[in-house]
Amino acid sequence: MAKLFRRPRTYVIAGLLCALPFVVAVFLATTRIPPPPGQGGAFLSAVLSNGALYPAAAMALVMPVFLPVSVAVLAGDSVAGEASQGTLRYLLIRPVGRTRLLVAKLVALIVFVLFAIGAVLLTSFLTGITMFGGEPAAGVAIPADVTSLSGVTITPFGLVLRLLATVVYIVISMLSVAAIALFLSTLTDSGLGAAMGALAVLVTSQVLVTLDAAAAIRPYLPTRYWLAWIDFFRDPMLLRDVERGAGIQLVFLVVLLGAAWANFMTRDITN
Amino acid sequence: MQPSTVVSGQAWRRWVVVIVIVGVLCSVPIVLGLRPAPAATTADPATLRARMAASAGLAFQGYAQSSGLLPLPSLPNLTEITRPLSSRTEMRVWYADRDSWRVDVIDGATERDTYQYRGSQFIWDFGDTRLTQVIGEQPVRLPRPADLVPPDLVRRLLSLAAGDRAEPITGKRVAGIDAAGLRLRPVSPDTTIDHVDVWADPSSGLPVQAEVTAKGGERPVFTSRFLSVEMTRPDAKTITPPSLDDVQVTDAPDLLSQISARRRGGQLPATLGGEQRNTEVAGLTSAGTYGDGLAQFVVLRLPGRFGNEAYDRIATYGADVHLDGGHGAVLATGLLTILAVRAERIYLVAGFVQPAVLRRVAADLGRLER
Repeated sequence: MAKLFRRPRTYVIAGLLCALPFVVAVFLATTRIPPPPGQGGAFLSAVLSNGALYPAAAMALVMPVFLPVSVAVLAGDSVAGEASQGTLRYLLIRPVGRTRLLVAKLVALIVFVLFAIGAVLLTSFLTGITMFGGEPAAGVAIPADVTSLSGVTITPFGLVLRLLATVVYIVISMLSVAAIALFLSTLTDSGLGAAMGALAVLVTSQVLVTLDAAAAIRPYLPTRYWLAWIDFFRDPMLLRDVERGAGIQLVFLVVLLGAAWANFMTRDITN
Repeated sequence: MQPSTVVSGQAWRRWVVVIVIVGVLCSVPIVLGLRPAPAATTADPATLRARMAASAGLAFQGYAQSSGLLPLPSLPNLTEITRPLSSRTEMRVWYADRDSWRVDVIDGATERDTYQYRGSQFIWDFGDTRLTQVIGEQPVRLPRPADLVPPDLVRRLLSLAAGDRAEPITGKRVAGIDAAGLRLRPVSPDTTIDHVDVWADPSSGLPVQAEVTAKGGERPVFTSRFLSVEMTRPDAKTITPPSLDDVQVTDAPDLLSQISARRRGGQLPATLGGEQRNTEVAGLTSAGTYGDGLAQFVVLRLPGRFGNEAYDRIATYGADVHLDGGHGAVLATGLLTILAVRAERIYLVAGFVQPAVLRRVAADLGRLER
C-alpha cells in the first residue's frame, strides 16, 4: 500500500479524475447552458442553481468510464506488472503467502478508489461552490439546503450522509472491476493485456445492459447497477437497486477472487 | 500425458471449490424462478373479478414496472402517451386511498412525481425543477403514468371489458404474492386485443399484474406488474407534496385540457365509422370516445399548430388513406391503431381497434370536412 502512494502514477490518475469534473464545470459556468432535462450527466442541470450538489454530478461524470478504467489499469498491473518486472519472484520468497499477496493487492485497490473518490469529492465541492455558488444563508458558512430528485430539501448534514453512502457504494461497485482485472492479471505477465481484458468485459456488459433482447441476463451484469447510488438522492431513498448492485458486486468478487486464488496459488513464476 | 503431482492435485481441488461456488451462485436465481405457485392460487372468476373491481379502497405501497413493445414513433405533444407504450416505465407508488396517493416515475437521474393531495394534483418534475399544482376538476385528461400502476390499470380494463367473458388461468407469484389469475376475452371482432390476463391477491383482490396480448401474437405486448408491494398504508409525510416557494398553478396541465378549455368548433359527430359516441362531457367539443368495451377509440380534434407535427410523423410511418376532404394516414402497431386526418383541422384517432374500423372513421371525417 505504501508503494501505491509512492508511485507518481497514483497521483496522475487521481489528478485526471479530478480534472474531468473541473473542465465540465468551467464550460457550464461560462456558458450557463445546462443539458436538457433527462439528458447529459446526472445532476448537471441542477448544479447551476446550487453548486453544493456538484460532488454528486462529479461522481456521475467519472463513474461510468474514467474510474473503472483507472481501477482496471491498476488492478491489471498489480500481479502481471510485478511478474513482468521480475519483482514477483522476490516478493514471494520474502516470504509472503500468495493468498495474502492477492488480498493485499485488493485492499490496495480499495484504498486507491477511496483516495481517488475522496479527491474528486473534495475538488468538485470546491469547484461547485466557487463556480456555481452554494446559496449560503446570510452569515452562515455552510452551503444551503439542496433539492433532492423528489423535490424535497436535503440539509447539509443529509447531503454529507448521502455522499458518504455514495462513496461506499462506488467502492463496492469497483470491486468487480478490480476482481476481473486481478484475475486476468494472474493469467498473464502483461498488465496492459489484463487491463484491456477487464475493460472488454465491462464494455460488453454496458452494451448488453442497454439491449432489450438481453433483458433476461441484465440483472446479473456487473455494470447494471453502477448508477444506483443516484437513488440515495431520492426521497424516500430507494434502496432496491443499491441492494441488488451490492449483492452482484460481492458475487463477482467472490467468484473472480476465488478464480484468481485458484490460478495464482500454483502458478509458475517464470520471470 | 503428464503424471499427476501433489501440486496439480491441489490446483484441481482449488478449481473444484471455485466451480462449486459458481454453480451454487448461478443456481440460486434459477431455482427461485422455477418455484411453482401454490395450487391454492385459483379463485372463482366472478368473485375474483368483483374483488379486483372493488379494490380502490385498499392501501398499498410498492415498486411497479410497465413494459410496452409497440413500435410507435414519438408523437410531438403526445409523448407522455406514446412513450409508456413503447418502452419501460419504472414507478414507485404510495397509495392511501383515491384522494391521497403519489406515483413517482423514475428515469435514470431524473424523476417526475404526481401527488393527489387534498383535492388537488401536484406534479414535481426534477428535470424542469418545477412544482405544478393542478387546480379544479379535470373532466377529461390524457392518460398519465399513474394510470399504468397495476391496480388502476386492471380496474380500468375490467370496467371496459364489463361485457366480456372471464376465465380462470394459472396463478403465479408476483412480488412475493401468490396471485390468482383471470383471462378476459373480448367478444367484439373489431378490437386488436386477443386477451387480457390479470392477476390479483385472491384474499384482498389487489391487482398485481396485467398483460395485454394482441391478436396473432404469442406473447404480451404490454405488461404492468409490481416488482415489490406491501399492503400497508403509506406515511402521511411521503404522500405530501414538497413545500416549495415557487409553485406554478394551472387548470390545464395537458394538451387535451388546454384544447377543451378553448371550446372552439362544433360537437364531434354522433356516429363515426358506424360507432356511436359515448357519454358527452359538458363543455368538451374537441374530443370524444366511440364504440364499446375494449373496442373503444378516442377522437381528438386539434388546431394545426398542435397536430401538424403529429400528423407528419404518422404519415411518415403509416399507410396513406385516400379521403375526399383531406389527407389521412393509418399507423397499425398490432395492438394500438392510430389514424391522423388533416383537413381544415387535424384529427387524431386512436384505439385498440382493427385498422379497417379507423379507415371507416377516416372516410366519415373526410366527408365531414368536405
